[in-house]
Amino acid sequence: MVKSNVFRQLSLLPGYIRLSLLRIAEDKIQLWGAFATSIIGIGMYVFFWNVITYQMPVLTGVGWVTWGRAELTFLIGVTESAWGFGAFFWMGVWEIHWHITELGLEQFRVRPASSIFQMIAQQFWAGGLLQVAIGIVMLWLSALTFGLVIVPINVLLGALALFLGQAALYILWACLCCLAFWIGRNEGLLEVSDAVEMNFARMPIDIMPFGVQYFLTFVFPVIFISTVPTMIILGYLSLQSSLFYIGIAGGLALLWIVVFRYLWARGLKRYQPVGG
Amino acid sequence: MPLNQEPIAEINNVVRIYTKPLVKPRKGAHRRFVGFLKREKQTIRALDGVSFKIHPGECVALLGPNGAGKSTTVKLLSGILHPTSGQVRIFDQDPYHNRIDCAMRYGVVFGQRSLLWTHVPVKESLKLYQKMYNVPKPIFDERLKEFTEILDIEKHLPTAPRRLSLGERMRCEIIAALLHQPEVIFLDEPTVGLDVVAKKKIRDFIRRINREEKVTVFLCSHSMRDVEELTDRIILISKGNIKFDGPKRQLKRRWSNERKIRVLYKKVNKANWQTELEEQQGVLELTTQNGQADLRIDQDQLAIGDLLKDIMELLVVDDIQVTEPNLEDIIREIFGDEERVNNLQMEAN
Repeated sequence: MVKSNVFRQLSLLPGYIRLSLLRIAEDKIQLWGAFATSIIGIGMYVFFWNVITYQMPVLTGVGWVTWGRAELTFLIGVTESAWGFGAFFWMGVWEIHWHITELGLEQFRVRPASSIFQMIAQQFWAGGLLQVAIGIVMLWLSALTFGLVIVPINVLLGALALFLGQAALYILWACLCCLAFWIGRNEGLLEVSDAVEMNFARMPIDIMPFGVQYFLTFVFPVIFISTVPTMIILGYLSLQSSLFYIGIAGGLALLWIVVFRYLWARGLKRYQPVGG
Repeated sequence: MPLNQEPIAEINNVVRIYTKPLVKPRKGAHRRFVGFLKREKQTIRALDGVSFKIHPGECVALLGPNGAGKSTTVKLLSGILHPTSGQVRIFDQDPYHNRIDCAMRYGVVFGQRSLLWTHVPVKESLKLYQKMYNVPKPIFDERLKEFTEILDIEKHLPTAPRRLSLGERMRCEIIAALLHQPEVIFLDEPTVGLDVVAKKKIRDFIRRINREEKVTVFLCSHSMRDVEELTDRIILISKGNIKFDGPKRQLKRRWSNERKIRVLYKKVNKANWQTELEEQQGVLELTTQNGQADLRIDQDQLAIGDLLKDIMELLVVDDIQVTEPNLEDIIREIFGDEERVNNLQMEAN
């Protein structure tokens, strides 16, 4: 039964992606907005790291690798791609608390598919794919400009680390959203976590103090959407280290899935419909 | 009503409690601060020991004032909510724990909440529904064609719901709820805010699917016209308790003994006819104007036949109309009178 439901939901993915494309076609200005935001963000950070590396050619700190202009530019591309994929795939997570407190869960609960799957799939945002494309162009340009050597296996491992890390991060957000069953609207909490991601994702996290590194690895795993995939793709981590990090990201994703399922099941029993 | 069949849905002694913050004015900064940190809550029993059964093919209306527990009942039956205590069964399953299986077999329309994707053409939403409910393409195409013709919305299928009028959108919602051939359909205020033409189309359509496809209909509505035209059985709910559950005609008979009689007369046989009529026990009101007399009587105290006989003696009658109060009058009267609601004896299912 569970297996058949999973397959049925996977079979719905093309339909939801189609809806997402139609939605973006209805609202082209949003697409242009995403494009502009992406370009401005990338431009600003390229400028920022250029200024820094002009003063200090490499950043070492307490990190495992030295970060020069090439690696930092590559990092910006990885982060942009990660955010693009996040915006495409995980945008719906942001609205879970909103559905619990304001919009209602009814529309998801009366359809024969997982409520969470629907909440996420309904918000697939095709504009995120544009961001992914911009990020990939950025990666390609930085590899070309700085003569970086990219090995396909490292790309695969890096992408896997990124995917699992991002899943861990967004499912953690979903857990925070679930708290809305008990505490009501909690945008403030999500704003804080968003700020952590926004501010740390474009930084090489391994140059920071150990405490911050641990926090951004095990508590709020931002490291997996920027620093770790960059290091893996650039071949700065051995295969064992890469697999170790992938294991941590997968473990965290699994942990947060378990926590989320528990919170969702408990919270749903407390759910009070909006407006009757 | 096929009562000999097993019920298709059943609610047994269900209690559902909601909590909400208690807003109390507090004097003094300290108390306000403490109140901010520690919110007091109050509990509300939205449903308080509700029980009823619905049999296949029935068309049941759940009526009650705002906050009576109607929507909560629909949401419990459709597995959206979990009961605080008691048992909810539909298709012999717990709809909360077997939600997906149950959702494949029922359809829902919430008048005040769209179940379509608002920013994409209706047809695209319906195509996704087709996949979600595993409706074979030929059946989907056939039903879509049939329903869109009946409800006259073919031309709106390429339009996003946000660009449709409320009536057009609601007709699309009903189609979405019925494309997968559900056995039960829950309608929560399906005609709210619609004009008379749209209301009629929707009512005719619901009646049709109930009669022809034998779809069980569970209707919550404030529109007595919906209830009057569509349903056979009425459940009255107030403050989370069922006050009446039985056939519509039984409610009318039990609740209202009043009849209105309009007499059009040519001339008067007796000068004091008005006094004679007014003095009869059971005549509650008499008003007259220009050859017309309107009486309101209590049938328990006065037989209509006896009264008509007296009227024929007192007046030279042109025409007589006897009308029973419509459902709207009765419901308004029931829920406007707290004491009578509490005293109303509940009918067995």
